[in-house]
Amino acid sequence: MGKAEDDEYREFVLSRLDRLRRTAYLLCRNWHTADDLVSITLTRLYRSWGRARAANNLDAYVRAILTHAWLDEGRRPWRREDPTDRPPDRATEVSFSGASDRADLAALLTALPRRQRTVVVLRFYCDLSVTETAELLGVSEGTVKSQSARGLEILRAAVPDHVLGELS
Amino acid sequence: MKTLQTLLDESIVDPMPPFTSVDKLIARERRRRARHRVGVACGAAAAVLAVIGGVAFFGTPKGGAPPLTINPAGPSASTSAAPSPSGGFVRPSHGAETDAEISARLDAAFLARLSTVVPGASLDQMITPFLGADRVTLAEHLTFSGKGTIIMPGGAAGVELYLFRPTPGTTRADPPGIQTYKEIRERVFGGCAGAFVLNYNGSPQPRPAPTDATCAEADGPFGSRLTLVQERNGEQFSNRAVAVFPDGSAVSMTTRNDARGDPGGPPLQVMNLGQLADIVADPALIP
Repeated sequence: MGKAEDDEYREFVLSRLDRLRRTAYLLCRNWHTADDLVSITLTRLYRSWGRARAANNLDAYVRAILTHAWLDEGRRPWRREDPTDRPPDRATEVSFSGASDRADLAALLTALPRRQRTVVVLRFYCDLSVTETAELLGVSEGTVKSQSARGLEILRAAVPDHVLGELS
Repeated sequence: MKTLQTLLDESIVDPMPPFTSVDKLIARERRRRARHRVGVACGAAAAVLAVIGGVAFFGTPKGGAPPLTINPAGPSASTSAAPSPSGGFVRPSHGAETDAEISARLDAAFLARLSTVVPGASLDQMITPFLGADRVTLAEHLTFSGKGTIIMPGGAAGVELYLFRPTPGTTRADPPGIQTYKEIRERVFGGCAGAFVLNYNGSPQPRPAPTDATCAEADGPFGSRLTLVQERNGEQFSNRAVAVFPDGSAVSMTTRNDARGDPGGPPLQVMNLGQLADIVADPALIP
């Protein structure tokens, strides 16, 4: 890549870096792993920049790299986490007061199985449609809908009903 | 009124640490590219081993080749794509060809490369030609594919090849409901990130969890990008090497242990990843 392309790449990355890191954090829930994933993503983006910059939706392309890096990490024995089959019991008395709910939401998101958490983050943080999420993950739209619904059901304890109501 | 997006964002309470400078990343990648332009004439396997030496590829076969050995064969003599001093890629030009002519050319190139990289190996092909035109695999790509068995004194392995050349502006005949091509696209062009994409034929397919699965990427000759994959599921064992060239052409080769191996014995690995890499990184295999 020449200097002009490097400058173009740098400008693109710097304008997206914060959001990319936060997306990665929501997926894996710790900054160390998140920044590993972002580094992998940015490295792959740099290596394919000549093709990538011509893409119709470069943000979607970057998001796909990040997501697949995250899912790929989960397959490696030395990075494998143990997703719980039994999500925590739903809290029945949670008032939406701010700091405690942020911690509740964080804990509940962490407890979601990897794929479910990925679907929730893509759908509701990255604001992808069902179709876009299914396309990115290579699964059916039905799977995305069911994973979204299950994920939201778990998060219900820490999210006001009026927020979830708009998502149904 | 807060949205779930806002709530998720606010749930990030751990302070964000400093991030590696983007300029450092760019500088590192520039140095890496400069390093791997050197020694391009040494063949794919040497470069692969140099880059991924720390990756724990597995599979000590019984009577077969060790998992990853250097096979410093240069590019096939049949290619007309001579590397420039900087390792630049130039797609071989063959003029107008019928499918039959392309098949004959690719068959000859593959067999020549196979015999160079794995002396004594032969191909037990199920149909002739071995590499035939596949009109429905990927949009905007001319695709040739073939399946057979590679036989050598150490044993045998099933082999599957996909060869791609970009043909911008063309469409594929996509049978309704068939979306296996998403898997192929990811596994060929997706690097390690796409190496284990689920097969999807209109409905999600549960994939048997492999006992072990490993992937690594490396720069190869002619500016190619190599992806090397091993998967083991009990006694089922496969190696896959993919080379994607700078113009978007790609060659993918998978070998699987043959069921004729000793029952209950360790998986039989006929060809190692270095050998597969040496084969796929040959531009003569581009349709």
